Amino acid sequence: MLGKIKVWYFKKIAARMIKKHGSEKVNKLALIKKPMKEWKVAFITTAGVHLLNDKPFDVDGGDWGVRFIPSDTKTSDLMITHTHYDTTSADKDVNCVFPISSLQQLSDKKIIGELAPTFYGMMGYIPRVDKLLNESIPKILEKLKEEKVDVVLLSPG
Amino acid sequence: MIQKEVEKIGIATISITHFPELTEKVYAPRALHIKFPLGRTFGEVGREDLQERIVGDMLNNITEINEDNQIKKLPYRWRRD
Repeated sequence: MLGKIKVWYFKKIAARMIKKHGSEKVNKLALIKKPMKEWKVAFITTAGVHLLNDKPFDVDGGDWGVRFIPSDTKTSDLMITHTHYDTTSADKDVNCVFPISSLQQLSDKKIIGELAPTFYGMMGYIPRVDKLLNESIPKILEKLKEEKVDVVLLSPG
Repeated sequence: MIQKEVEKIGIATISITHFPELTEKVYAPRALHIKFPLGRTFGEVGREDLQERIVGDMLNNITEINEDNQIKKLPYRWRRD
């Protein structure tokens, strides 16, 4: 019950943020010409995932920071710091919100070309959209460009 | 918001959403709607089969969704799948 109220409450906050900052449209989708088996793929999650030895997210403070996660990380070296959704399952198996094992397998099986060296963990409750846009996103974009990524998949939280 | 900034630099993106009515308003370039609870986006603990299928859906729809701001519904049901 409490979980449902929480989801409802944070959905309301998200709706307000969207109204304020979300109205921009991307005019043209990025088109990818090469086949999937040549794609370099990165993953961004806002489910609060980070390395065990990295700084946990300050959830109540609306932490806008980004945590880099090497794409060859083992799931046992990852943890979640987030309180705005029910993390019971994801605490047991991080793949519930951040399917790093599937991605590693898809790359091993050569279904995709390769994984970008870096994945990205963030915590989805970020009231300071200015900090997100001016500090965190540029860090992500710089790394994505540096690593010549073709495709980015994103999961919520 | 993050997704749009990435797409704007010419990298193809796709996201998963639990709340399509919100995603629609934010104009995510490509999105898939999954009817699973938040926190179990790729299914329950240990469901490697389902996790891999949903990641596969994301990859396939990078090229299958050609129309801007399209949200496609995934066929999975929480209790059944």
